[in-house]
Amino acid sequence: MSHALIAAPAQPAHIMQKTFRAALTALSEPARAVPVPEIDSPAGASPALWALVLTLLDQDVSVYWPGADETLKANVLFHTGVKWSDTPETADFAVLAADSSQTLALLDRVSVGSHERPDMSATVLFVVGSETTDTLVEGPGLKSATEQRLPMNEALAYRLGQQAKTYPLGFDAYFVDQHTVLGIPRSTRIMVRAD
Amino acid sequence: MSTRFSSEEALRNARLDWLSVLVRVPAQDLIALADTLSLSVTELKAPEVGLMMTEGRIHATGQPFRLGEVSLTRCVLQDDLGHLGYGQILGRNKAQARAIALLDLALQRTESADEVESRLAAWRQEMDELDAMEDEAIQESRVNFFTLVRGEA
Repeated sequence: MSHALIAAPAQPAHIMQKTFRAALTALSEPARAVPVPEIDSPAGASPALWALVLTLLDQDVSVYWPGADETLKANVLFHTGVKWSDTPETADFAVLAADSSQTLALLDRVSVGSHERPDMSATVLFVVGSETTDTLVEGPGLKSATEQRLPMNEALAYRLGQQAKTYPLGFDAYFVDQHTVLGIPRSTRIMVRAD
Repeated sequence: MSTRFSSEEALRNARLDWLSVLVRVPAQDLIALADTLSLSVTELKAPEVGLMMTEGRIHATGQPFRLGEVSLTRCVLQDDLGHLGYGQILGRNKAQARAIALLDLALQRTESADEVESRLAAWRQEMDELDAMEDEAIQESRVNFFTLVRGEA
């Protein structure tokens, strides 16, 4: 019969407004972890990821989520009505594991928009693992170049740093852990510290 | 404690029929009947009010255009067997949306279906009579156009 569906949060409009505010803050103040309202989440998604999923996804967009099992997929479809995309090329949102070895290959396939419509690019939600990298980040929203330990491996940090070359094309990234979200918009320049 | 419908297809067809009746029944009747049911349910989506864009077509065949937004209330309940009960109505009556979701659930369960089905039959007949009266009223104002033979033979 139906998979284990969880209940929607009480006061959904308030939760989603706060989460949207957090997502906006995360992209306007890059590389800083912003707290997200805490809600119950289904297995396979952290509370912060679930809050962002409920806030950002709706029936007008599509999502590519290779790591979702049947129960999680059923929950996402039930609560958001989002279109499920089987390929990264056609998705408006992608949910990928930051630590996975396949992530880099998938990133080459997500939509980066066109020169006429760079806003049509994808937004990538990275599920943070255990790896971190010391980096130097600068760009809009950062007062000066600052040293940051970012929750991603070196290869991914390098890959995101490469986006400076294709600007304004590129994707915006969120790094989501249990209760916070950290934004790396395409305008942020990342340099991996060589030491 | 069991499911009435074995296939998704059978449930879908039956449900289309009963939901089309339930949404037309006056709210207080629905709520009164729903109050008599004792089902343990969890609110997957508590009754919430939102807006929906309606589309219109001139003469039902022209290009679709945005007619305007209407308020819509929806509610989704789940019972202990995993059935889902949906209630969606135009307007902002949360109790009515919840009552429809509850009746939708009750109709999917063997032990509670009979009682609701009997009320449903009465309502269905009422709606049919209303429709027939409306048809009649429309027929009275019907104008038959016809063209006389014109021009020179």
